[in-house]
Amino acid sequence: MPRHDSISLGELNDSQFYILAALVQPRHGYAVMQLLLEVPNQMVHIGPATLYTTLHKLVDAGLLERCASEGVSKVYVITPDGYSRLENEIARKRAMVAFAEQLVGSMR
Amino acid sequence: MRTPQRILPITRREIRSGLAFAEEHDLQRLARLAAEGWRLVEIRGLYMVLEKAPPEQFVFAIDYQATPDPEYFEVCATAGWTHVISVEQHIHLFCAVPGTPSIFSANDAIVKYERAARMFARPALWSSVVFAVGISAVLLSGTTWLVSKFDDGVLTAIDLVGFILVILGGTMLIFTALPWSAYRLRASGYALQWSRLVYAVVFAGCGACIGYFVGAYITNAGW
Repeated sequence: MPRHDSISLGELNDSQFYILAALVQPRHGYAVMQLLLEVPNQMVHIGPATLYTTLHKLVDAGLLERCASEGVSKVYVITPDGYSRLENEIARKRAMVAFAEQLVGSMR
Repeated sequence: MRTPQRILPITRREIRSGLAFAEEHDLQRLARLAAEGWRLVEIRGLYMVLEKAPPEQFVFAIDYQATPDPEYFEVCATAGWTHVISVEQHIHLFCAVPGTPSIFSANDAIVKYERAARMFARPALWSSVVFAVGISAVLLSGTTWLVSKFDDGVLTAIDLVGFILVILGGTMLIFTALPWSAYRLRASGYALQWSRLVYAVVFAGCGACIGYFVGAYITNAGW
């Protein structure tokens, strides 16, 4: 089992999180890339090579599915499993931020 | 009547350093050559073939993907990375204008080396098996146990087959096990800046050993 494959462990890494979120509605691979390039304030960079491997990993893990393909481009969309994982992850990240904000706020 | 003169493209050849060992070195060299007006057109064995072209500022990147579908190149193109060339459908070279965000996500660049190591793992294993079988045959053909069982013709045959397997397996090991170990090192975070020298020494050493064995066998001077 590769070390960096964290999908099965229940925790999504940043690339997986952004890509799942981008696919709550069906999009082509390149449309996901375009969307991620437009993420505000450049807080995230997901490279195209990473995007491609992550899409495949998420499909293999059952969190995404291919719903259509037009020639070269495939259309991906989140599965119910993927959706619940995404929601869990949002809740987890929110709790992390709330914890840190509370501590930082008490220092001011 | 004068025949029209064919204009051949001006080409030059450069020896590759071996991507497993000197990826950064080769990518920087390609960028420098592109700026001097040389465009890569082909990777042939241990050579890169370049063609005269207008000078351009490019950065290069390498990724390892086992037989990707066309979507891969499309997604890369969307992010500004143009596909230049692929080697054996596994190793893919891209170029982009300087300043293009990386082809990999932050913290993700070394994951590609795990994929690369995996591509070499099976061939390296098979080469080791061939090598081990060859070594055993060569060593066994001299033991009293085998000598007592077979006549001279059979023993010579075992010895010869063993010898061929040793040379074959040894050569295959150089081109599989060495890259595999280099990719494993890279995947665990080593930069491989200086180890290039170590690999050059190991490479020369393996070559010398094989040369010695061939020489010893041909002159029948014994091992």
